[in-house]
Amino acid sequence: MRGFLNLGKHDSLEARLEKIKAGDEEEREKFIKEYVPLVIKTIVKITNRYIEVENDDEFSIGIGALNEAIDRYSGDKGNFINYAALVIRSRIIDYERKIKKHSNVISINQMEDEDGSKLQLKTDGDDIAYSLEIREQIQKFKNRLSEFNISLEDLTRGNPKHKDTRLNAINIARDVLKHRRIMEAFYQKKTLPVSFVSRELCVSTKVLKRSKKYITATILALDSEFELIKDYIKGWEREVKSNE
Amino acid sequence: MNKGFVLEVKDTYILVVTDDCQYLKLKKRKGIKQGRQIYFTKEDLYEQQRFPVKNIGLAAAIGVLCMISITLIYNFQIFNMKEAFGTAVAVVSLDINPSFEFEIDDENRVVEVYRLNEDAKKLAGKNFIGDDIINVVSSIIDSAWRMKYLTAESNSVVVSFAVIGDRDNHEQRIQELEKSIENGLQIHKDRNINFIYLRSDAGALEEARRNEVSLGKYELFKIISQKDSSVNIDEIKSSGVQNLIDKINEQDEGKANGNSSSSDGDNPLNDSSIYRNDDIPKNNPDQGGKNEKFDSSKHGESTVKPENDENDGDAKEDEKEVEEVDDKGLGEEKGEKDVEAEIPEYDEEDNKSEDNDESDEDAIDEKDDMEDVNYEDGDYKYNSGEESSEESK
Repeated sequence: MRGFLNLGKHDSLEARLEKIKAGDEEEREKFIKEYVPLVIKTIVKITNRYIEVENDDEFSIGIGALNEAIDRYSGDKGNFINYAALVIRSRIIDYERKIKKHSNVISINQMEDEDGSKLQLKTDGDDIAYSLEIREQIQKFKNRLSEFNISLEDLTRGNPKHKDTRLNAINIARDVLKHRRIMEAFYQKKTLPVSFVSRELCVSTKVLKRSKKYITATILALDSEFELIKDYIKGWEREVKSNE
Repeated sequence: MNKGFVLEVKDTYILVVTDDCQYLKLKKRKGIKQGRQIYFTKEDLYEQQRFPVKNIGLAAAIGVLCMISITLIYNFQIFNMKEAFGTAVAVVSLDINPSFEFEIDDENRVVEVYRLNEDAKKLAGKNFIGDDIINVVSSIIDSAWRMKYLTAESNSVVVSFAVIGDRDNHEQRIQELEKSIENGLQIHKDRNINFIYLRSDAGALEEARRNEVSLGKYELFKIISQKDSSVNIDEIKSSGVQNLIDKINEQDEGKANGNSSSSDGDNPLNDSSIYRNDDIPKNNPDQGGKNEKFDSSKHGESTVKPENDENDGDAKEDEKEVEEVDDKGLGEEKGEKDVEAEIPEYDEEDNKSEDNDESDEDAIDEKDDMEDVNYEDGDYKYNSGEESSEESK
């Protein structure tokens, strides 16, 4: 759709910026949401680090910079994207410089990065407990997968690309979980009993075979205490439903 | 944008499960740890090897063919390329300590870059050709700031420009250029950088090139030598911008103690100007009495006082970290390189950016009108500092 609107769109970008400047907060929010990937991309290019969801100082500075770019932008500043990227870049660099001045705070973390256990004691206790727990959960998940002869790499290759296929696979996994006899066979044979499932749940073997690894992994994840990955699955299902 | 949960960190990539339930390989970046949640974009996807091994011969053959044809095309195209970007109509030099000189065309696009010292070569690996001069200067300042070429003590940036070629609207063009550079550098305003803009001309450029020194440094040389005839161009060449600025300041103080008005009349710098954009001195008693539009030394000398009060305390710390930052900096050049180069590829915004280019033309027309007005008001604006700083906002 966007492609077709090519001609009208420049107007709409200008018009949108005008609207935002005039105080349309809703439009501003929408606009910023759209440009979040630009912010992330620009930041990552500078810091060469991923932005962490839990610790997102840089992200909020980036968003602040985008806001600033919106307010300061005018036609003579050239392309908005380039201009916004310049502003974001500058603010992030300023922030980096500021952070480096309090270098003792950072250095503990950095040392912790390189050699784990000893220095971790200095950081927040809850944090460590949490990350140890997560590590343990991931390890369990991986062990389970390997019992079924699947590695994480396999999963990255066997991803059902299309959203609906993925959703369908998750639904199948949920149905399998409810089916006691299938689950018994599943854990006994350490593999997804394709023809059994196909018969019992009325799904084509083609679908099952194609997404076999993905379905297996989803079953294992949902049938574990791996809360985080379960939350991811649930969260996505909810999101898809709310969009429908 | 997506959220991802890091399941595993490998040598060259990481494995994540995403918030839309995909298992993906992403590029590895420093500091990443298992169990973290991150934001990522599709730029972060780890490219998997596309060709199975048996096809590698074919791939190589295609590669060789491509290279041959690219070489051929390139040979034919190279002359046309220069044409496409137009011919140089102005020169902009940038001295931080890395010294750069850019030739730009009618539309402020860079057509030629000269890196005039080692620092400049270190700072920017990108070739800049075809980019907008404002963006280029701005991103170099960013990098310099980051690599601590710019610090609380050494916070001067000299931007000098001259119009070349045989057209007759030099005066107007140089004003436009100056204005747009000044505007473009507004985003660095909060950094306490001391921007010094020096107007120059083709004659000075020729001299500067003959002496293999940047235009900006040559202009500084002219100012210094005016009071200290013993100075020679080689000294200038080897000393940093901040030293030169300090020197001018010293001279200025010396002069202030002696006879302040005598040199005004025979000032050889009437065709070039020096002033700073943000904070033109308010207590300059001689100011009002002058009629030259862009009078030189008065402004310049009083502007170049370092204003590092706020950052003084941190200066030492800054210095300590310089080395570390330098190391990092090299790696980050790549990052810098990418910012401008890749943004236009950004799919959704791509269209917008094209559209925006159309609007630029309008914007330029509008700006032209503005320039005219400012030009007429030249006396007023540049002779009274407060007024000018207001306008530049």
